Amino acid sequence: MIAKMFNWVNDRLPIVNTFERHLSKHPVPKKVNFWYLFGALATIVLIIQILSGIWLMMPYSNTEEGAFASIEYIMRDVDYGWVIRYMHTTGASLFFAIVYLHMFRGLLYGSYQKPKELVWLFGCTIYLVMMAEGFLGYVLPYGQMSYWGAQVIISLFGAIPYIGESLEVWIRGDYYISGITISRFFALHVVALPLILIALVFLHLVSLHEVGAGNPEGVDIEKFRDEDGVPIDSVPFFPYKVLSALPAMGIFGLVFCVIMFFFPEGGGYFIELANFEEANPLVTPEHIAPVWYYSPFYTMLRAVPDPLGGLIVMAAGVAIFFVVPWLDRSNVASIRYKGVYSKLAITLFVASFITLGYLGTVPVTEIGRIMSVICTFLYFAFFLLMPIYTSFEKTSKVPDRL
Amino acid sequence: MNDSTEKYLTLRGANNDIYFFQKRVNDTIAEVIGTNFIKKSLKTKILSEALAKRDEILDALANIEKLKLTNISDEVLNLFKDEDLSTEKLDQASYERSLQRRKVLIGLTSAVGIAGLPFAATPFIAAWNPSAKAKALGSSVKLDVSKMQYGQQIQVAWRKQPIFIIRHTSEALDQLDKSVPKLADPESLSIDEPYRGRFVTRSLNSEYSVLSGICTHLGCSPKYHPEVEPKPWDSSWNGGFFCPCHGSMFDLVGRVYKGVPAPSNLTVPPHFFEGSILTIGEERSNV
Repeated sequence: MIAKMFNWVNDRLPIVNTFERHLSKHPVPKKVNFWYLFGALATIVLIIQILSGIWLMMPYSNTEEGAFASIEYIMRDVDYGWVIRYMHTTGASLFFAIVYLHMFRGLLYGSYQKPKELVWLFGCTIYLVMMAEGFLGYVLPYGQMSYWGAQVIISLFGAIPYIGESLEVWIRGDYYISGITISRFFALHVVALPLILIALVFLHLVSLHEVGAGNPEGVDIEKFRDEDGVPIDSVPFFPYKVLSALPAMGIFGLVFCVIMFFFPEGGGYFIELANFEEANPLVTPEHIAPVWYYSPFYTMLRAVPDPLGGLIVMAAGVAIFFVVPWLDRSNVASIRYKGVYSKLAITLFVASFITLGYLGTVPVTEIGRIMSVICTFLYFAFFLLMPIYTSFEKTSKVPDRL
Repeated sequence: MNDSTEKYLTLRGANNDIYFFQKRVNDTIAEVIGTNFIKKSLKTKILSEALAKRDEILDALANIEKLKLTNISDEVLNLFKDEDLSTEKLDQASYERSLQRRKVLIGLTSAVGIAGLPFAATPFIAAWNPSAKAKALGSSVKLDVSKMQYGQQIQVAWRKQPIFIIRHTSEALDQLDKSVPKLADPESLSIDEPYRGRFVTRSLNSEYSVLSGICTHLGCSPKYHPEVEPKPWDSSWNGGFFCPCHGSMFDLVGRVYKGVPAPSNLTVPPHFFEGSILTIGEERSNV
């Protein structure tokens, strides 16, 4: 009976086909390391964000008078409201942490190289949309940092010549960040950008399944196939990779819960302390810092004295990820077989990125300004010199088999 | 009958009064139209029409010889088509012509669609402008500044943005010149200064400064530090405003220091004084 019903549906919807094509018969490299887990973890966090977000929408009020109060209401009066909210804030920070690690994996093992350029481009676009999504969400509680953070970010558009000032008013819909701004940010945060994000994740995965997943060795597993045409060095995604990822999921869940229950503010990095105060357009907090996941780019912005220049450098800092597939001229994919210059470059890149991130969270000092200029140069040097050092350095021979 | 003007034309039909086109053609043309000999009724009794049609056919034949089949009009193409003959190439040509036409139609339709886009987008874009209510709430504010102490700074909100009002002491105003070497633009030349050359306070009053409290860098609100004493950000601080966000410095009348992130002086909002009543947000209409 059940089999009959299933067949009836399957004749009209490609259930078995899709399951086989994308799971039980989808070949993935048999040997990968922990770096290859973050894509799956990101998907899980996306689901957590969507669920907790829908539940937060129910008691949230998107008005100037009501927004901050409704957050307090969620925290104090709604049963388990605090769990839902902290789930969403923890999810936001961990989403970025995971995506940064996921992107770093891409840089380490050349996950952007031919034929995976589109996978990489979709991924970069996801990151861009996430940054917008995170910013819009941070404004919604209408705390001090929501207000002043948004003030700084919207002022960035004011640096654009000629249209800047009217663009600012147009984005806000008012002469300051008011209830009008909040309600439009709310619409974008809960409907427009999540729709785009889900569509992009879908494209990211479909394009990945078309070209096949990579591995830490950078070996092309398609070269050797058995008599059925299945790559010898592959295993089906389901159940092998799904089951072996479960322990990692468990550990991640544990980390998530520890943060959510015990350190939801993340020491002022996940939820900034100034945001526990309602927005006051007349008083700037003593120290304005972005949430940690934007701070490397914020430091680049501060490193340039001119606002338009700062805006351009900051935008270039994000945009440059899009062209990485065409900057890397190496004949090998993985850092394991790349030369010493690539290894040095990626080390300096990570160091400069972390330093930039740290500098963005502390007040400006003279030494900090110099450091931020140096680190901004190092950051861009990693990308802009990539065509040179990847084509001249001596690489080692990649094995045939995984 | 003149042979040169009526070449390839003959009169045929039941009454011998219909013009026919007759011509022997070479192999290249024959391959396309399926025969070496063309004999077609021009379906007219009038000589001038027959001549025009003949010339059209000759043109078409010339094009066929050069294999430029798509240059030939459908009317002439149909003339060559004959169910008894193999005319694949002609069919192909008329199909390609229809593709070209389709391309033009698709192009025109898309152009109309694209031209319509701005119209369709207008309500979506315009709905983001400040509403009538927001504009009304953003009109002017009035206050009495006579109760301010000398050296005191107060903030009022205009459009919910901080506006700084400072009542300067005469010593402070005398000291202003001292900071000039440190300033990037002491004469406010790089901005649109509304009340240039009236008073050192930059406002419409010799004692009060009226400044927008929004840092020209990225919109933070600078803090008032009137004390003349060494500060962490400047060892020879002469009093002024310091922006806690990115460290921009301004003097007591909002003029920006050199070498700070802020590119220009704090702006002066539109205002006027009626005695000690200050109105911010509009100009006096009858000056």
